[in-house]
Amino acid sequence: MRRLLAGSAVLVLPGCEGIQSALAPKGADASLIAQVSWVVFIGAGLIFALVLGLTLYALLAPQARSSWTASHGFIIGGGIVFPVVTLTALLVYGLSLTGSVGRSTEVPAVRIEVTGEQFWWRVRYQEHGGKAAVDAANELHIPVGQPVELTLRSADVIHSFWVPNLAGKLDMIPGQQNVLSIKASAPGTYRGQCAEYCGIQHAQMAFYVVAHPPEAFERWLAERREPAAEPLADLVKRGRDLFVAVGCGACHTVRGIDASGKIGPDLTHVGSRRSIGAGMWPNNAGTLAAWIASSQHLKPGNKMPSFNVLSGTELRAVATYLESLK
Amino acid sequence: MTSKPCEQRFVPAFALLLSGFIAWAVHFGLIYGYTGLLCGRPDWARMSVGGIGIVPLGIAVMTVLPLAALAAVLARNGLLRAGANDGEALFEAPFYRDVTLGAAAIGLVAIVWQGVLSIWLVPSCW
Amino acid sequence: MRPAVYPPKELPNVSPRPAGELEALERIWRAPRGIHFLTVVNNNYIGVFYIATALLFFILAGILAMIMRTQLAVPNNNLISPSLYNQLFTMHGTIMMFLFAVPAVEAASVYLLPNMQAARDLPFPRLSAFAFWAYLIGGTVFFCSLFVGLAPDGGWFMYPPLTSFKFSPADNADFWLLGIGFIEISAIAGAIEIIVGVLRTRAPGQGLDKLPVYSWAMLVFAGMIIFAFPAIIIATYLLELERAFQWPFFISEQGGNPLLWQHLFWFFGHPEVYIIFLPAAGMVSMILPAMVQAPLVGYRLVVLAVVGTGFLSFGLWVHHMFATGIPRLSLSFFSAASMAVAIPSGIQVFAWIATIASGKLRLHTPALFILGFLFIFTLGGLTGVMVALVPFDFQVHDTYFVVAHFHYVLIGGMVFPLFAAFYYWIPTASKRPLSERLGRWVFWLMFLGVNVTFFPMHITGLMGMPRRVYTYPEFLNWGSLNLISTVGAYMVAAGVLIFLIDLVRNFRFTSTDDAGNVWNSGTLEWLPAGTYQTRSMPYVTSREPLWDQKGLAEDVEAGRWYLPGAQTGGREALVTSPIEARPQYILQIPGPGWPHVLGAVFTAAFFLLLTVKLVIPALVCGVLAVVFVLLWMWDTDPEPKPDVEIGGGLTLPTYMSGPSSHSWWAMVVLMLVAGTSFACLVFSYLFLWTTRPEQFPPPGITVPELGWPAICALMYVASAGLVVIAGRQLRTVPRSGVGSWRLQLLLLSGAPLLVCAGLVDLYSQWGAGLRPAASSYGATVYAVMAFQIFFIATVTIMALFTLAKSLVGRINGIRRATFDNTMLFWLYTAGQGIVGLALTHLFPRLIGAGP
Repeated sequence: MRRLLAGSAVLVLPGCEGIQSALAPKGADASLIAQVSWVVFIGAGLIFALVLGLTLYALLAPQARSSWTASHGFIIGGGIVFPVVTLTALLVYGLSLTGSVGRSTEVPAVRIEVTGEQFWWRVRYQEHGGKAAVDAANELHIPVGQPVELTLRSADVIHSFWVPNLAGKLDMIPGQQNVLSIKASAPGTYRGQCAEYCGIQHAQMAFYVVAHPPEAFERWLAERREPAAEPLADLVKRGRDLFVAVGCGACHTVRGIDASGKIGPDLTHVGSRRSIGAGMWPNNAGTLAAWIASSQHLKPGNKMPSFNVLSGTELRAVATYLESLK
Repeated sequence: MTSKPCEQRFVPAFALLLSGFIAWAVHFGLIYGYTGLLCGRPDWARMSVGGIGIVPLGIAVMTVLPLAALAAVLARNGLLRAGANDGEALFEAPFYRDVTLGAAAIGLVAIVWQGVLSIWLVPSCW
Repeated sequence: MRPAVYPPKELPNVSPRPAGELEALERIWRAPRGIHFLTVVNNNYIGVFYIATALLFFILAGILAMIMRTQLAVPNNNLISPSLYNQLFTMHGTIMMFLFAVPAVEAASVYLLPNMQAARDLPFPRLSAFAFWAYLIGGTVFFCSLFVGLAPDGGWFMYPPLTSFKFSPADNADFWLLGIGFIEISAIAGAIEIIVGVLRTRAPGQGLDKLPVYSWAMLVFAGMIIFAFPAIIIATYLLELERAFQWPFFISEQGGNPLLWQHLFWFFGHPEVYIIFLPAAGMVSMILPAMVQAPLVGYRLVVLAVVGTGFLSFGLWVHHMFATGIPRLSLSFFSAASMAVAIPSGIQVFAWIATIASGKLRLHTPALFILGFLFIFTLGGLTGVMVALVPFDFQVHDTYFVVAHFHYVLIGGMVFPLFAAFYYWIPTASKRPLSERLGRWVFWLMFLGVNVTFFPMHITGLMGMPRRVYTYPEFLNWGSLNLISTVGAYMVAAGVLIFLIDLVRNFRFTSTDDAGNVWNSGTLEWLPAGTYQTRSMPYVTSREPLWDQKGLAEDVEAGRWYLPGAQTGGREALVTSPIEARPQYILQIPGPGWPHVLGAVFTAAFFLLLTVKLVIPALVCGVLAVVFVLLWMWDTDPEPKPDVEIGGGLTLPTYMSGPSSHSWWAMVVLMLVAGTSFACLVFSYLFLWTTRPEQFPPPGITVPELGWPAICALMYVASAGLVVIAGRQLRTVPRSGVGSWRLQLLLLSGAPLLVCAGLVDLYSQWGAGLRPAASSYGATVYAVMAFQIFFIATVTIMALFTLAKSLVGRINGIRRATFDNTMLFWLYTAGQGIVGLALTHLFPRLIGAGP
């Protein structure tokens, strides 16, 4: 029990701890499921105590007193009648929520396509209100309090989309598209992670979800529609030229320059993301450089080759350029 | 030695012993297959008879049938009346009688849970 | 000769027994010595080897778990590489499920069932030995794939497309598919043995209402294997076809569907959990009464629960797939069934509590493990009800919460009862019982260790930690909980280590000179026994005969009950009727021999060589395997001997064919396996059709003209007719006669008809332009045809074998079990062929795809 309390104490601390937790719900579905959870935890705790108590009673009480437990009636009552009654209630409770969790009848404020790929997340904000679609990766921005419809797909193997603070998980299956409706109830940054084993780097396939107030979200999205920022400093310019010259554009898109590859993540606004390597490290020029130079060493099995042909200064230039793409 | 070779009555006797669970299995297979088939075809699933969707309606019908069949089998073998009966002699013994009726009871609960609660509480093909 | 009185009013035989009777019995049942010891077949030996091997794999998989727990002890750990970690969790799960849990409970029953039912041996002792050797060799090589980096790394659930050729091109996945496919065959062989053993070789009078709960559990266990394992065999068959020949069953671009694998896998995988649990629950229902010194309370309810669990567990498979996007209404059926299966578990738990209350529980080590089991299993069951709730499962599915849940269920539900069983039953196989003092250490370390390891995982999972991750970042604060879990895992390991020390110190194997009835138990396995089991077979009037039938042990040992010697002069067993266990006939059972051992060696070699793509050596071994199996079969179906008296005037035949015979029963069970496998193929076809109707058939493909299937069907009917006529004809063949030329002619003309039917169908589909690698429709049609052709090849071999036996005069009107088996399988194959034709030719027309 102390362990349990210690565990929950950790959960309520502010900061990073609760950003990937089903016990700190920050979304409509997650709150509903958390409520279900506490109902079943308390119910199961009571039933467990009852079974344990009866066992001890049978074990320790004088036989004359406990003889009523050594009967068919006791087995039928405890083993059939009691479970049928409690489980019927639980089933009615569970099934009445089964139809609605993860679904919404409201018109979504935003539709986002999320595609699982080994080992990162491709994100596309669909066009709405006559405004163009926006490509992004490994980070999802959503408005608070509004229904968001996610269309989940896979480009290779089975993945599973899961942001515990917001909602339950839903698989991404090749050849199938699954729809998940989520609604964040509080602004903040949450972390999600692939929940279906998808290969060697399954453990390093995470992403962040940032929930903004609706106006802030619209502003953010409008900024993302802009092409990449034009470099000002020399180092950044050199970085951009190197980016094009060594062929990064074969796999990556940076709108506004000669780079329109579709194999890897869209990097038009990569500098504004919180993490690099699908949730592996905080995003800055240092981690960007490390990733470019030795991505196969840092995350073996991912599809990006290590660019160890670049010299130290070249690497710094490219990384600084990418960092500047806010 | 019995006059009849026992293996000839083993299969029917064993099937009767398990009839409650067999009814459950048949019901489960029917409603699962039916739902899978219809929900894969939105045009079919949207049809309705007298205002009731074809999916819940079909499940309701498929729920009644195995229960009726089970009741008929039990009645035929004299298991639904207390005391003497003209059914299988073996099933007068408490062991066979109780296990058969117990299986029927659990089968009934499971059938009602999956066939009635589901269409009452969960929207079809959603 | 005395008139037969059955049920007996008095002891059927008198003592003292004739001189030399016991010595003959001992001589006949003695195990071979030296190198020939490998050919031993008796259940006392094979059972113990089998259990020991399962224990070895438990320890090996446990070591893998310790490495993983060490890796996860702290965040961002670099102890092992991601690739090794993925191999470890795949192997840990696979070995624990396929090489430990199922074989362990099957092994225990090979050892225990004949003892509990006072049978001399199981009805097919060489089949048990074959299953054991195949398992030992196959399992060991499978484990060793880890040392060369070729261990499977796709998870024990092996979901395609990750495990298909595109994303797993190396041999790792093939090790899983072929290795496990082959161990499944071993499990099915064991299940057939157990079903026939439980139903047909019991102590006289041990009717279904007096059957030990353990026998009931094993009957249900084996029945579940019969219906669940074919699904995984078909799944591995399809995935291996996709990997080897690019037949697109699971590739969505070509009309396949990855969810097909999940359905087949979990249709096996969920019952699997109960397949493991039921035998263990059966053990608890045997051990607890002995510890309390009172009968089990609620025998009927417990039997009802055991059988009910067997059925309901087949309605749960989709609860592993709640998050795949299946219609919510369908999910609700599985949610309901998952709740329903809790009722039988509830019945058993309350029956055990009631039994504890009905006497004074002696807290010996087995009792401690049972109390530990009740604690852990109840918690696991309660979390099981939670995950059956669809919304709750959306959060915890594939997290450490589920890891905690199923380790509670499996360790609580299987490992603890198994350890109780070790401490409880070892005195029947060892000169000394295990140590009570060390036993307490083992129990407390394991009990506390399991809870310390797995309880925190519930919280870790709710805090967001997914399964199957080789590491995790520090800032999510999962570190301390994981460290606690690792400490707990080391406690469990220490407990197991002490158990091994106890085994080394106190276990002294014996089949003749055991420690005896140390717990004063009431059931028949505690009768004094030699390698031949009990000296004589008592008529049983109670579920605890040793408590209720006075002087039973002495009478049995003095040979005053039935069959006190070796009446036919060889190894024999008493076959009884399935419901009331009336003695029916004497089964002459085979003794030691090389063919089944070599058959197992070459079967294992065939599969393993195929895995590493050494096709020619594999084929050579495959042929040798068939040759040795046929050699083994050549000696079965022995010459009928004169009827023998087993006591009390009861005279029994020494040979039986037709529907009463054990071999007929085994063949019927095998046909159920085959039928279930075929049904899984039909399901695969229909499933792909439901999810992709426009692909059935794909544009541009037409179904062959109706004349083709009509011709094939006619050939199937004709060949079935010929074999039935052959069976009629065989009745007239006298016992002393050499072969019957009419029978031989009918066999010779019937088999080619089957072959033609299979090939003509293949030709018609190929001629219509259908190719297996082009579409999921083509792949499934060819999979059905290939399956059928495998059956036809098997029938052809059986027909030739029967022909050969007939030619040397080993088949006649009386001695006809070999022919009967061939005939049953033949008729089944013809029927399966016709259903296959209807599916692949008529069904597409029915859905409007005709030419």
